[in-house]
Amino acid sequence: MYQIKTWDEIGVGDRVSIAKTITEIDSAMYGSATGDFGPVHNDTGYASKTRFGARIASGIMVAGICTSILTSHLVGIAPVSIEDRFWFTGPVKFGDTVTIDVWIVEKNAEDRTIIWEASARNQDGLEVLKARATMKYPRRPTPVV
Amino acid sequence: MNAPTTMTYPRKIPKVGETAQVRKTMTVADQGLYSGISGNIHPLYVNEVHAQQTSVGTRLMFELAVASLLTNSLTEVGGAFCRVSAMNLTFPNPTRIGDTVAARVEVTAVVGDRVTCKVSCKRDEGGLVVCEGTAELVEVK
Repeated sequence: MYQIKTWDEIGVGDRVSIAKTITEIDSAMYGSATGDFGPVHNDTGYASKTRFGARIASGIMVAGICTSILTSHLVGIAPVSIEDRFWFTGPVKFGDTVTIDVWIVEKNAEDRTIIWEASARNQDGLEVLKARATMKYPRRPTPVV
Repeated sequence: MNAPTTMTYPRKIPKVGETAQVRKTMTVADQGLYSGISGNIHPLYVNEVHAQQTSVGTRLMFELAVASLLTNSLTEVGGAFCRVSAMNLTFPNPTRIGDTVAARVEVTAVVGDRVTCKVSCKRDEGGLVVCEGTAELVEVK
């Protein structure tokens, strides 16, 4: 975990999966960190009248789990994110357990970029999130942890 | 206008037999904050689907988060000039998210500036012991 992977150690097709139950406290801390106190995340009365029927987690907070396992397992600590795209395909309610698969789809040696994709499903198998994003592997040597 | 009050924390000398207790329901918030402090995201503790496949039936509380209740009671018996210098704990049973835990500290010996305590945490339901052992306080000069 949290090791340096060299450019050559990162392979197209490498894949890691992680599962986590998304809780109210995750959302509370995310809300206080970002100032996003939107009613669909915080107001039960409001959220019950939306098409979701209950408060939901912020999609970008759930998406953040992708970068957690990228750094800890898939590409290591050297590459940096330069572009992310997320599709929020379903709601995540508090208490839902989300399983996120992240895999490497491309490596481009000329500009030292790595493209990864991800798919997240809840405990019922519904896809709640998709991602496609680009990281850059730095030319400068990575400091040792 | 009242003069400002200065809070004072006198030195307290713990006595053998003195006890302190605290009770708390361990919540998903406690669990989330502990993960934030420690970086520990072990699936038995953060993945409800995984935890339901075990005999415990739901997510476990981090053992050291449960034991942290003891430090509250240790502060009570030790006063404002003692710090925890040692703990020796076992966790014979798991604590589940949502369990209410009673943490208890009893002073068993006071030798010089060292205070030894017997400590335990019990789940409300059935009085199941989830943490037990000893702790030592030392006076900070």
